Amino acid sequence: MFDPYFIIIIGSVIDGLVLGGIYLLISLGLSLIFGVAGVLNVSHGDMVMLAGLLTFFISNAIGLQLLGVVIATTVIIPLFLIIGILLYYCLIRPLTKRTKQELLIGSILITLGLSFLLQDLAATVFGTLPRSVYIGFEPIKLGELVVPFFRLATFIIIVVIAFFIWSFLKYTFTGMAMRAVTNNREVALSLGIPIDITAAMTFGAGTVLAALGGILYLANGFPITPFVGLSLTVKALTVIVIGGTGKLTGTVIGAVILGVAETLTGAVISFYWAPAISILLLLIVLVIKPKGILGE
Amino acid sequence: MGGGAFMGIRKVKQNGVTRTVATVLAIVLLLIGLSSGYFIGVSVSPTVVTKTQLVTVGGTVTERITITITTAVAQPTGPPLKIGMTISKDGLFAPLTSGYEAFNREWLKWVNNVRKGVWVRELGVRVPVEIIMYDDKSRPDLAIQLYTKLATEDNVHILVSPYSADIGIQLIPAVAERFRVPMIMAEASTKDMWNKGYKYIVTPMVPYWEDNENGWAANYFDMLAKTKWAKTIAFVGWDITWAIDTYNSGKSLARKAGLQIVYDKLLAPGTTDFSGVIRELKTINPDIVYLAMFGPINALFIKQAAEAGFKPKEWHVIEYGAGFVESLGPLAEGVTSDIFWTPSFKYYQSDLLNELMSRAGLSWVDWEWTELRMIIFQMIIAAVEEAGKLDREAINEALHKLQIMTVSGPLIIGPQGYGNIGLVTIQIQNGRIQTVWPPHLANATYVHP
Repeated sequence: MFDPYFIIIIGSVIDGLVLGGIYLLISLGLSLIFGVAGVLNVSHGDMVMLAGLLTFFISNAIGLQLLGVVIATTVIIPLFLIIGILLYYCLIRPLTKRTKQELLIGSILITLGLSFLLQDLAATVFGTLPRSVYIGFEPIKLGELVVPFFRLATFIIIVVIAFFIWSFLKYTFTGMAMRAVTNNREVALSLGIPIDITAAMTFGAGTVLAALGGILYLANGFPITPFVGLSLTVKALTVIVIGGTGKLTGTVIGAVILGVAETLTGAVISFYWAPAISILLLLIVLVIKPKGILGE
Repeated sequence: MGGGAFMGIRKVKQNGVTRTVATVLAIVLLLIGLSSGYFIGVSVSPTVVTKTQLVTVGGTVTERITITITTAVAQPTGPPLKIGMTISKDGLFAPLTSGYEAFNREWLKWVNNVRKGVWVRELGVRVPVEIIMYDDKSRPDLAIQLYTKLATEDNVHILVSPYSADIGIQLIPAVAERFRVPMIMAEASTKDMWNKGYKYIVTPMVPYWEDNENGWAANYFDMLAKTKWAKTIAFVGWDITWAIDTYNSGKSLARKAGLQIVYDKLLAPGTTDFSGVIRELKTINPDIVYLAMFGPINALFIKQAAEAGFKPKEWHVIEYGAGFVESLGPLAEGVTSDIFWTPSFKYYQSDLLNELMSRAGLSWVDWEWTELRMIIFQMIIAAVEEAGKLDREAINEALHKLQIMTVSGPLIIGPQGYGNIGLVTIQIQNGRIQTVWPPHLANATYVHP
């Protein structure tokens, strides 16, 4: 027989790990794009939003929420890969001939504009109601601890995806090319790595990660509205800054810290302060270690 | 014979010509007839003129929508009565207010074409009504700028507040009092609006923050006190003005109804992950959970609780609109809530409200506060006709003395500016919303454990 408070804390840690996992997927996409293409994609959160809304409407059309989520995932992954690649070629590539600084500022402005456009388009097409799905499985009971089924499933899915990304970056040519471009663009170019194609593939992969984040965000009962994107981009940026820019392991650490901190703040201090903890963490990291936990 | 034959041929030819001419004439007449009918049809049916412009206010580009109605027959004459308001087409309040644009359009059609405008005694004519709307994007700073524009540049005669007390309370000193324009507070009212001596605001709603029969959920707690089935209750709310008002009033009324409050938690506005709160509620297991948040957020809370395996004996939500019933499906069954009007009410123009909403494509299940907009339009017509002139001061004075019948029953504006329209308790039963309390307005029996 455990103390109820202890059960609440353990449950909050599990929730935090799942939430952190969703942040991780979103942040990894943003981090990859920033590292390889040198672009800060402000519309990244809007990809999360679009994938979430598409999932909602596909699962509603099918009528069965879980089956809908599965089918939506199979449609959304290739779709968002293409969208990501097209975004690179249509919007970012024309900027790549500019200096690094101009590319960064230009990309922020262009993707910010894209973000507004996507928000308005989504509001027109999907309406402005917050959308969420209800999977409806019985929660899993681990002794006195009760965990929603899909939260546990999400945790496993995220571990599998994270392992897949790690293997992809470590063992495939495209993955190695991505890492090489992140580490040193000029050396990578001299080694004959096709920078353009690598950057486009990274944009595609990053957008797919954002989309997966959106699907899991929705499937875990969080609401998606056309206007949720920018706040998710900010959350992902917070994760990257906490972990250290350009470091994928840092992103993992940042995401877990942020997720667990948010849920534990609610359980231990006050639910009122849970949303504010990300800002506090960001300030602490910027003051103590401005380059992030693993930043050099 | 030959001549006769010729004559016969001529006669046949003449007959042929006559028939051809007759046929052509008939077709021409038919076409004229049809086209006349068409044009007559056009001339009697209203033409809605919706002019949408993009304007820049304080560095923000937003929409300015002017809705006017024109007809060729019996059009009201005189300068228009101008009503100004903002709605939110973006942001947090968009799911709750964006539909009012269509409702305004349908009401304007009715007031200008069926009612033939509003009688202005001083002018001796019925004047047409015009509505000027802006999109405030759910932003208080933008709302202040837009209402200032409505008061100073668009020169509206009367203002209708936007959604939410948090935005509304800022508009009163900044616009209504400053420029002396009467403002009717729509879904925006809180104690601090009515105890500062403001002169240019009124609302049809009761002071629902009180812990007496005016309280937001007063009828609900009266029902619980009578049925006596519930023993414990938990309160969860967002820390925003309206929710706090209903949360505090609800807690006090719950105690008076003999319920034990076993949990109460105010959350930061914007909180959407309720897993921690749900976990705590699960350990306490109250009979009722009272949710003081916006409708879609209440629905989200109930869904997350269901995923976590928590279902109290009853959910009570302070708002259910914006897709609540549809998004929850079977989980919505038995949920109770509060509202100012339901179709079971048979007061003044209830049928008209139903019809206008239906034409606007708004279901009252999803747009649950549209009745307030209707009451406000009823107030505007009555106040302008009582004032007898298109003058802000005169209209304001008439608004403060208003005693009229509305869709939700008789309305009397009190000396402080607020009215007496209270809320009834509804319950979702078999996917339908039923009025369950007070008994004299109920159309269904309250179902409880």
